[in-house]
Amino acid sequence: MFKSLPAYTKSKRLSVKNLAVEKQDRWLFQNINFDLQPKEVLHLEGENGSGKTTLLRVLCGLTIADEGDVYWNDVSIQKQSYDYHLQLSYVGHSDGIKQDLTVVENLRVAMVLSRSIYKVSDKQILGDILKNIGLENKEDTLAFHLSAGQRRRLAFARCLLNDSALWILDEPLTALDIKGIAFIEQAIQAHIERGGLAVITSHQPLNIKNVRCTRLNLSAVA
Amino acid sequence: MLQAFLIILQRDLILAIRHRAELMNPMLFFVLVVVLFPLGIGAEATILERIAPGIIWIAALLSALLSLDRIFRTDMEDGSLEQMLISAQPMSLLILAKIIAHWIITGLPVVLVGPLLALFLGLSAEGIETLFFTLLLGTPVLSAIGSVGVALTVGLRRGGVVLSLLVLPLYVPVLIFASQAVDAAAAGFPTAAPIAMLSALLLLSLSLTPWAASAALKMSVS
Repeated sequence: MFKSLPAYTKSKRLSVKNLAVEKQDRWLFQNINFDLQPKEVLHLEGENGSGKTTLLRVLCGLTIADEGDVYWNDVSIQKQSYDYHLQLSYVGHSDGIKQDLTVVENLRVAMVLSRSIYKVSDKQILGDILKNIGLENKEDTLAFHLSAGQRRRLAFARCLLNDSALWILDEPLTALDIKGIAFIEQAIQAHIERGGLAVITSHQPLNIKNVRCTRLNLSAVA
Repeated sequence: MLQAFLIILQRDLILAIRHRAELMNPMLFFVLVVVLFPLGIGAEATILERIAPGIIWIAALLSALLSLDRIFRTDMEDGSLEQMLISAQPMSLLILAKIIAHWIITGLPVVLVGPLLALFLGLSAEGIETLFFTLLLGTPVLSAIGSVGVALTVGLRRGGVVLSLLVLPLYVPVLIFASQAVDAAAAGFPTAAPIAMLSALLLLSLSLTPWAASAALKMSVS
C-alpha cells in the first residue's frame, strides 16, 4: 500500500518561534524554536508532565500559546486554519473513537471530517485500510469490543485516510504489539519518504531508517 | 460540506439509538411531571385547563435542560471533539448538525407527546393546536441556545449548576411567548404575534448559536 503512493504535491514547512506556554502560574516550557522541513521527523522527549502533549496541542492549534506562534509555510496557523487542518493528521492522547460506533462507522466519520482523498462509499479502500491496520473482518464490530491496541490502530488509520503532509502523533506506539509497532514505523517511514513531516512523542525508541530525526527534550528546556 | 452535516447528524442519531435508556430519560421526566400535576393540585377541570400550557412548557424546558450536557460532553471525553475542531470542515456546520440531532432525539418526542398530554389536562382544541405549533417552533430554540451553554461549560469538571444558571434565563422568552400564544388561542384571541416572535427566535438562534458555540468550544478545549 505504501510503496505505490506518490510524493506529496504540496510539501511545506512547520516552524515554531519563541513558543511558551504557562500553566498554573508557571512556565510549562519557554523559548521553543524549531524549523521542520519535508522528510524530517521531530521526536519530542521529556519526563512525564514536561508538556509534550501540550506542545502537540499547540502545534495542532487546539491550545493557544501564551507567547510565540506556530507557522505553516511562514504563515501563522491561526490565519489559515482551514488550509492547515487540511494538511494535518493528529492522533492524540484520547483517540477520538466512538465506543458505540462500529469500526467502519468510525472510519467513515473520520473520512468525511478530514475531506479524505477516498470516497466514503468505496468499500475496496475501506477494506484495504482495515487490512493494513490489522482489523480485517472487524468492520461491524463496535469499537467498544476492540482491545486497547486495536483501538490505537484504528485511531492511527486517520493518518492514512487523507493526503496530509503533517502527522502529529502522541505516543503512537503505546499498547501495540510487535507487529503493530512495526506497521506504524513502516507507515511513518513511507510518509517521510514521500516528503512528509512528522512530530512524534514516544518513550520507546522509533526504528526509522535513513530519516533526519531531530530530538527536542522538553525537560531540558524547562 | 453537506456530506459532513449529514454524517454528523447520522452519527449522533445512531449513538442515541444505541443508548436507548438514556434517550428515554428526559422523555419520561417530561411525561411524569405533567402527569403528576393533576394529582398534586386536584382534578378540577377549570384550573387544569388554565395552567396546562404553563405546565407542559415548563416540563419541556426542564427535560431539555436535563439532556443538554450530552450534546458535547461525551465527545469531549473521548477526543472526538478535538478531531472535529481540527477537521477540514467548518465547525459551526458540525455543531448545527449536532443541535438538530439533539432536537430530533429530545425535542421531537416532546412535540409529539405534548399535545396528547394537553388533551388529558382538558385544554381546548384551539389551545392544543397552538400548543403543537409553539412546541414545534420553540423546542429547537432550546437545543440551539443550550448548545452554547454546554460549549461554555463542557471544559469545567462540574458544569451542571453553571449550565442551568446560564441557560434558563435565556429560555424565559421562549416560555413567555409560547404560553402567551396558547393562552390567547384558548381564549379565542389571535395568536399571530407570539407565534411570529417564536419563529423569529427560532431563525435567530439557529443562525447565530452554531458560531457562538464553536467559539466557546475552542476556548473550552484549550
